[in-house]
Amino acid sequence: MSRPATPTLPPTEALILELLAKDDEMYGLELVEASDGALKRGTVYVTLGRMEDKGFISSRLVAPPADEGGMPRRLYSPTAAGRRAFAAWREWAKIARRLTTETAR
Amino acid sequence: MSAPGSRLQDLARRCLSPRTNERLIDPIVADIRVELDAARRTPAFARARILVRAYASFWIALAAHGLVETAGALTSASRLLWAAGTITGVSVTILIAIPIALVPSQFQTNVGWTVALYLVPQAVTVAAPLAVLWTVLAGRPGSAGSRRAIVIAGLAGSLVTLGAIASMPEANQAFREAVFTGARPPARGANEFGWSQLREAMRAHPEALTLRITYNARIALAAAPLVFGLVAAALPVLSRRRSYLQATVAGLVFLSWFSVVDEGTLYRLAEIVSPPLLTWTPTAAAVLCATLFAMASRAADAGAAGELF
Repeated sequence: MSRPATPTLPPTEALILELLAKDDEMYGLELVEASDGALKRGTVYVTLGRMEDKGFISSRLVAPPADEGGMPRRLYSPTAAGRRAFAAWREWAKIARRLTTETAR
Repeated sequence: MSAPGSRLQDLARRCLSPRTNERLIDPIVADIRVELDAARRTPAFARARILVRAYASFWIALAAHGLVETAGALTSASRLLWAAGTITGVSVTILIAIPIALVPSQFQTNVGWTVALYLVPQAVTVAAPLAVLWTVLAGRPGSAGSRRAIVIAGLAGSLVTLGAIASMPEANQAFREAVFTGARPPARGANEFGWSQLREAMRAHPEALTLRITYNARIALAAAPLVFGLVAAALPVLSRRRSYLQATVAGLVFLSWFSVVDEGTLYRLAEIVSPPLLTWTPTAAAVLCATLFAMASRAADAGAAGELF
């Protein structure tokens, strides 16, 4: 039987999930601003699209305030699978860090 | 004056898919408008800076998206190459194995080993469906592009089988004549009839089960690769796992019909069930096997996800 694939979470996806875990729902631009330069405006939506395909996040369109006009914006939030993936990844990162430290001693 | 980003949006609507527009372009344009709206009381220079930065991010996003899409297409292409390589590998193995298995029992004279080549068309009629079945199960396609590719591979497998069936009667007869030691050349059997000869013989002898079994077996074998390709295209809905073991088991289920079931049993069975039903049994059994494996894999996927999270 084939084994389930080892879960991987690229750093940008982990960061997005971490930010969304704090605020629950954020716009793409808010994620860029909250990341202190780690996320770029040019690539954040490509990453968000990929994460939606993976089922880590979901999005919904939010109509702009009536007095502002403009067009609907997409608001992103983590899914249950995304939260679990991030929690698993954080645990794995912790173990990997500890092993690296112990090996270095 | 048009709203900021509307020209880019119009251009994108014409060039990109609705999904890309919805996921990539619309959020960027919405961001541009929000930023400009928030900066409406700032000096024109600051607003121009925002606009330049926003447009730059638009083109960077488009380039990044293009790279991701290209990488996806390359993955599909490598899957297709893998599928083509596997089909060829399995076919060649079977093509070598079947004549080797058959020739010693048929040899009655000291003819050269090259006569085994006459058996190649007959071997192809089983090898091509088997190779397609093994390939689609061992490398189950995930993307829509690779699903299309595997359906095309199935269609190609069916065409190859039809070609082999067309050349098989003459090749089989040549083999029989080459190894025959009697005074007169052997008369043609059902396997040595072409399609039209087989139909004529069936009309003349409607009671002859051999003819009906042979005729229906040819149709079932020619259709099998396409059926496997179509089933494979539907399987990713159930599971995206691949398993060489499952592919081998399903392949053996298909192959066992031709190697285990002897002619006597076949004729007895044909008296109970109709020849079309009988000859489609290996295909149906392999499809059932593949579907059960896919369902089991999906259950295992769900279990593995539960354990992981």
